[in-house]
Amino acid sequence: MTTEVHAVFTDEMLKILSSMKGKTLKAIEGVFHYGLTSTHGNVRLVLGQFAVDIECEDRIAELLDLEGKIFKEEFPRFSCKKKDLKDKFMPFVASEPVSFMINEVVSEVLLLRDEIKAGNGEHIYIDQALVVKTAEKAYTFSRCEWFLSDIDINVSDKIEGYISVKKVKEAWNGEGRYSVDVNREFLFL
Amino acid sequence: MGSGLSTKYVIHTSYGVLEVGEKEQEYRRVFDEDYLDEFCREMMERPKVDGSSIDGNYLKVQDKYPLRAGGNLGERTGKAGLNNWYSDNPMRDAMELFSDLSNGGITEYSGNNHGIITTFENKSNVMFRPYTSTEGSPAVDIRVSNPGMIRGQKIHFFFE
Repeated sequence: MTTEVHAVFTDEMLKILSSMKGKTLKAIEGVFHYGLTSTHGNVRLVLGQFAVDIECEDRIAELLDLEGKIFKEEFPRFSCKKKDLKDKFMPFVASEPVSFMINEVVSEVLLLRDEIKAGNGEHIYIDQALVVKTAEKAYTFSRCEWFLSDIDINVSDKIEGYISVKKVKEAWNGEGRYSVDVNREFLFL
Repeated sequence: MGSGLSTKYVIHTSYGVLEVGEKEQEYRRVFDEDYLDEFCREMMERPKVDGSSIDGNYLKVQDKYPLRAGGNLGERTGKAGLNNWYSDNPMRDAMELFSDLSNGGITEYSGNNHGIITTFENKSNVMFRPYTSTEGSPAVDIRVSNPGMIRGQKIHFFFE
């Protein structure tokens, strides 16, 4: 038995992300209780003429259990929506969002994508992180655990430090039962 | 529905009812069962305590929740971080685990996950979801930022 999971941005979404290049990243808006470090579910990038809502929301995926049978489980995945600036941001948690002012021009947008081939027959494509670079800094929006909707935000592009290939292999090796191949690539949009 | 909101929309979902207030940011889950609604409100009214954490909370109740190797609770599923918990009352046990681990954090409704989530200062969080895509199985999701005793995991609760 084999299964395939595509937890990645769609082609249409990649165009939205790419369209941020050359625009001014005015602010990052979301529910941040403890500073610009992490949020649950969604965050808004406010640009000059529009906004992009980045979401990490549950979708149902087919995975394989200990006996190799298919079971369905929630598997959050990144997605994005282009929004008008007059559309109010709706956070996934019921708290008032706050904005962190940035005001830097986006020079580069890239994704960290893993293709995971687990020895039990699971084949998973997953976008682990979105990196928005400006002349001054890099803003990385990344996932943590495969089953969680949290979005971590780091002002750094040292992604390997917090989403290592080793950690990805440990997540998909069936608690040590089989081997896992991870093909990691950066997609420059 | 007794929410205290001036209701603008009532959205029926497969999980229950989502009530949205006049202010766009003001929304809350209204659970089908009153006891769930009361439980969530009680959790959200608990005070924030500086320095609290999931690990710290776990230390206080570790005898109730023995860990498997690697900091996992319940029984293995073959997926790292995905565990099953079997008992004669899955909802009660899910509520109790959430209550034990969430003390001292900021608790709020999570509209997309149809539950409540508690966040701590160190980025760790714990979520209680009475209804999940697995029919009849509530879940508790745990995120720890610096793995200590207990690891990040999702626990589905089932009848034994």
